Amino acid sequence: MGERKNVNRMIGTLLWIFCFLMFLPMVFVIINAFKTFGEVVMDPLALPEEWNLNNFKEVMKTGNYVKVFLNTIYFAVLSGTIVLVLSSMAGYKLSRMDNRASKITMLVFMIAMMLPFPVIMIPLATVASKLNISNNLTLVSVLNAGFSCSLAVVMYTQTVRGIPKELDECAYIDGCNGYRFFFSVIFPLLKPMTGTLSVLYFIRYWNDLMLPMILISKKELYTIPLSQLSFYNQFTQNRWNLLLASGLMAIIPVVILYIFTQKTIISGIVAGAVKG
Amino acid sequence: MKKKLITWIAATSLAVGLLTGCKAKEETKETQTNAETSAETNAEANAISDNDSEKENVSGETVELEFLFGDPNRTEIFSRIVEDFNQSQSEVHVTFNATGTNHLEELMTRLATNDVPDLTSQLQGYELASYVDAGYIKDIRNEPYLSYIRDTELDTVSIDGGVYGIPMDTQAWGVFYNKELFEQAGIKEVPKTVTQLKECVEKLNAAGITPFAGGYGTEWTIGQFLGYGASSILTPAAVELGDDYKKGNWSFDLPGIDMAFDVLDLVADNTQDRPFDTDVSGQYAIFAKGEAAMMLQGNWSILQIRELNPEISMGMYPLPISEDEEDLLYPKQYGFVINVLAATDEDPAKAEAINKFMEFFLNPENGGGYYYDEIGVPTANAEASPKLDEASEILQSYLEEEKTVFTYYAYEPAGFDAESWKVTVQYLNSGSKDHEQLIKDFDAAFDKYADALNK
Amino acid sequence: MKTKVKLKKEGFDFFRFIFPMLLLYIIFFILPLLQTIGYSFTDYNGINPTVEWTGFNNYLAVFKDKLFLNSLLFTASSALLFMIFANTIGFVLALALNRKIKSKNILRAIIFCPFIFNNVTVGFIWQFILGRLMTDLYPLTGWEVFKIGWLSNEKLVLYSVVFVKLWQTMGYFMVIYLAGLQMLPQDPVEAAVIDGCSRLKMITHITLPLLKPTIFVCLFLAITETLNMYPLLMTLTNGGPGHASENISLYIYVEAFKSHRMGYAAAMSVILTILILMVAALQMRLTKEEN
Repeated sequence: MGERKNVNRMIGTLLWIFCFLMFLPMVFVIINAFKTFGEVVMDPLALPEEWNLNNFKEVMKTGNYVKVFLNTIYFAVLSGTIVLVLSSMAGYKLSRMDNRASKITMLVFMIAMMLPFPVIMIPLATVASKLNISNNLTLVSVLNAGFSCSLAVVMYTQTVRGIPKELDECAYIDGCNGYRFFFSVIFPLLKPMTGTLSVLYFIRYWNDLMLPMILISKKELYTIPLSQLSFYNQFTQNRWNLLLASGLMAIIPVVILYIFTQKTIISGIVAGAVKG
Repeated sequence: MKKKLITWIAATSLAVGLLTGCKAKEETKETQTNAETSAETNAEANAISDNDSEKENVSGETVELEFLFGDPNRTEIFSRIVEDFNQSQSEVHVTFNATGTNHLEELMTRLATNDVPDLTSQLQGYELASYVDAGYIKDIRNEPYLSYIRDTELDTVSIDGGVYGIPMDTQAWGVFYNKELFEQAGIKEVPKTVTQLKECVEKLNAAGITPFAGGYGTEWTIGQFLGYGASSILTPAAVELGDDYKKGNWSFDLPGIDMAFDVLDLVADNTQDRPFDTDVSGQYAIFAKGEAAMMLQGNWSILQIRELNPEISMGMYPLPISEDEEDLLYPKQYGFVINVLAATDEDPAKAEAINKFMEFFLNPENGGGYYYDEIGVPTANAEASPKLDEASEILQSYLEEEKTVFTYYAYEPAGFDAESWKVTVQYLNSGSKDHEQLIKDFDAAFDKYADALNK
Repeated sequence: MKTKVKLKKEGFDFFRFIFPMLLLYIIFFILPLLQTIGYSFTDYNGINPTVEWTGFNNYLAVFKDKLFLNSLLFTASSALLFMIFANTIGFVLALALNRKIKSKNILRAIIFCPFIFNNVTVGFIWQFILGRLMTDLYPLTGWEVFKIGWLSNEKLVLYSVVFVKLWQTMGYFMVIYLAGLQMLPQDPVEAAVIDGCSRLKMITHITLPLLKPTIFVCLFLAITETLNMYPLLMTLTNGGPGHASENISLYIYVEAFKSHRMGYAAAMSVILTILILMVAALQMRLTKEEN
């Protein structure tokens, strides 16, 4: 037994060393985010002469940071909500109906799961401008939901199979109207899957660059990845200090959020992986 | 399980709550940000605010202009000019929107999504032609502010008699050199032929000084060798072909190109260690620190070098690519061109507003006139007589003797430049020194993009 | 035979429940997909709205395009490498973390952390580290490893890219494998322990086979991650040096938006779609056979 403990302790230490090595490069990034441009370029390994928040203040002002943050929350939450609500409804009926039409519809939904974004980004911009969807966060979120719902539909369809059909019949007899029945009885039973999907989709939407890049061109409507790309293009050749500072500002709030919710996030993914 | 859902619902409600609150606060927040930015005298980059509500109250309707700005090297100074302009009067408000290396893409997206800016920059040569063809750019040949620009400088912005851009600085490309290090190595005169260049490199090596600072990590720093450095061979050939060139009947296999590539090899063989891992800011650093005596760059770098090392004693001479001293021409163009979008014609108030804005900096006596002194390079503006940086002295003498050539860059079909940089980097990476293959690769790249010449 | 009433109800249900999501999906995914096919037969350049029909010209050009093949090769190699390493590393980490270690929750959280960082930021941070920092670390330490051109060597950039992607996502794979391990039926494991099986034998003969469904999920995830990693490539290498790290998605993006050749990019997208659907069909066949 003692041997086991030692082995475990050794593995634990190794893992800690692994984590340390993983994040060691970040230390240098942090150091350089506090320097002036000259300092970063002339001597990236040195500590800054003066530790001040100038870079961060400038990024905050230039990038309209708070707004970008809120845009991202809005985009992620709205798209996620639409997807979860509509996909659960679709998944429910697709699973129950089990006829030719539903099987074909399923396949149609599954097409998007494999295809990478570039395959449709070209016409997306034109469709969006014709329907006047660009630069409107709400409509972009709707578009995003439509575009990315495949995973949710598939997962919900599978999960619903685990809910006994008898429940449906009870409601039918009781004369419950469809939507009300669904949301008061079925949807709560889907909670675990909803939890998993909300975590996965939220992370995906939060970090999504591709869709916002094509559809949002007004700086005040940027999401975080888009704002980061804009900074990269603006600063990569002549302002590394600002760029690194902006990078830290993009990920630190997320990390803070993560520290509080990581148990939830990870168990959400675990639940999905088990079911999947 | 319950915890999860609760956390999620809490997050959603918090977000929605924040947002409803935020939309209401948006108006007040924007006025607040406005007051802050106006108060600052050293704004560095974008001013995001669209509604200058403070100023609006003073004089009724303020005309809004948006300037989609694409020159990273001029961003800092031009944002100051816009700032000063906005503060100096209240009839016009310009929103300065700086892009960066993805300027053309952003412009394209904006045009595609019908969110057209009023002013933009960087369009000239064949790139400009596609936009003019599609009707996006305004013909400004009859505009009052055009009178500031010398007639002779309108080549790359003129199409079929119309004028579609305002060239600002005379941008040139050549070899920066550190005067002190040259003295140290015993070099008395800047090289004017390939042989002299080789001697120069030998002397530097003998003195233990790295001849060239290379920054191939950023592809254009060496990629521009073709578009800029070889201009004296390529530009006249393209101009002579005229329409044939547009049809794509072109090859880079021209007399003298082989020797030009010899110079490319010479430079590549004599840079610091690991030039591929150094990006452009690293290149500037190496030169500014005095760790290398020369670097191939454009005069847009002057501002950056001065920032890193204000005391450096430097000059800039044209890169010799032949043995003929008389043939040595300084490649130049307009790195910074302002274009007016045709959509501004729809609003008569805008034309007037643009006039006002242009007057602010095109007239050197006005508030924006400091531009010319700070830039330190010669300008296309006939009225301005800028104070030149010491690095621009040689360029000025070549300009006066009319020994310049328009960069081939302006004649490249759209999309070719980025590809040509990659071809150059691949060539250097391979170390093959196979000039024939290099020519073939450039030709293949040209053929790929040649259709764009006709659009 | 379904009664008329039941059929009507089914139709009605279809409309009420399935249609909303389906409608959005069709407008915003299927329709653009069809449009891409349409554009592939034209010379649309993204700026000028007037286009000309060019038939199969774009497709012929694609087959002759060396860069297209180059990008496909890079995509395939990076997908393969990533798939192997992500799964191996994820599995090994999960095995390690499955033991009774005091701080395992914290360790799990730390390793998973980079997964929540966005691709753009990860890209340029690592560009700075592998480019600028490494260059200066060599004269300081003299270690050979810093002399290597991680991002500038055409042959190595593939590994550097996969490395950065692994750094970002290995926590994700680890978590999934961890879940799988914890859900393993205990009976075969107990039986093996009683029989005196060596640790390694247990892993290869019992654990892995039982984890098959998890492994399939992870393989699929690895492929999609690779195809969608081009924002990372944009800020990490921009496809460089030259075209050495140009992913098919990045190449399509560059051709469409930077080179003004949208018709051509559309043709490549169509070909990519067909290729992926073929691979997906193959994968489905394999899973069906398994079951």
